[in-house]
Amino acid sequence: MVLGFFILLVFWMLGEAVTQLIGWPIPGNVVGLVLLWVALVFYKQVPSTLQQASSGLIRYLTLLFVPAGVGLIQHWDRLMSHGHWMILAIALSTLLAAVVMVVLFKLFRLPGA
Amino acid sequence: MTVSIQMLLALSMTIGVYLAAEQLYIKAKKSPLVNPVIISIFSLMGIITLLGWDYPQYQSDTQLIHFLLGPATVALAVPLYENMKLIRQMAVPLLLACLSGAIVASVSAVVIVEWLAQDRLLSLSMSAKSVTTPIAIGMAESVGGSGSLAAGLVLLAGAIGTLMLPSVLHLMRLRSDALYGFTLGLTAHGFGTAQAFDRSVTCGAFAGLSMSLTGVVTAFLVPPLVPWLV
Repeated sequence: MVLGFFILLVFWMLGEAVTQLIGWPIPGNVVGLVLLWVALVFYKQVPSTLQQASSGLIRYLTLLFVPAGVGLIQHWDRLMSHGHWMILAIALSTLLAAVVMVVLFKLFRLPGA
Repeated sequence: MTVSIQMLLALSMTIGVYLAAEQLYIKAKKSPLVNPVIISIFSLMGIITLLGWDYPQYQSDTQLIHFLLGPATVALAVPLYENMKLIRQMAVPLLLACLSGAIVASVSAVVIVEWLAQDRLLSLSMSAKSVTTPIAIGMAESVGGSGSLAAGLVLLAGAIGTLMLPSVLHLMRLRSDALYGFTLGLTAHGFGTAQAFDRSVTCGAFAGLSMSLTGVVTAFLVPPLVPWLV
């Protein structure tokens, strides 16, 4: 499991290095995800230690959002004055995006769509 | 990093509140109305206010949890790899759906909130609302919005998406777990991915895939569009 965590850290570091070199506006951890994915495709299997480390982290993915979420407290006034518009705009755009996607899936006749 | 009692208190309180909220979620048969993240965030906001702590202090005390978001994002490569066969079969339609979904989700939110609220900082930050938190903060700042406001909007989008989408997708008769997850991950990023993993591993892997793709696509394509919208 420590080896698995080590692999994740190394790929994160590589991702950060790539974004800094190219000057991309994309976070290094997303580039790290893509790099690890490519590496696994070449390696053709998932080492069990990496399997353990990643399923442990993914299991508690939502806990990791909590500290950033509490930061909403800094926008309390805006939330009180415009909160209803925020919710309405998000709900409408979520609905629009989901409908566009499902219609595309159905046009392509994907299995289960 | 020096360890203080306040830091340990902030960390254990955050994890403790989350674990309690998760128990409540399980007791309520995983109803999205008692989403453990939303319950935890609002409880912790209350606790912090009662204790008289300021947010920047809490933020630096809980750095350890926030830090794990990095390796956890990289870890999403594992379920993606495990679903390679399905992804290969549907690569072109998935990419097209992701491109159109990501642009619609971002542009429509900016246009609607600009029209309703006329708050420039809010409209600009709204462009990053369906992008996973680590990407959203950087992206909102690059278009002239606020990173912490974007983080809040991302959270709201996640909560609203996980509340709405199960019934919307049921009404539209989407039966495939893979496509269900893909739609959930695009509109509700990490929240959607967590909910998708509750349904099945395939569903979660596709949610993780669309969350990552959406983050990259939105961060590349939307910033140049934003000046035309507000």
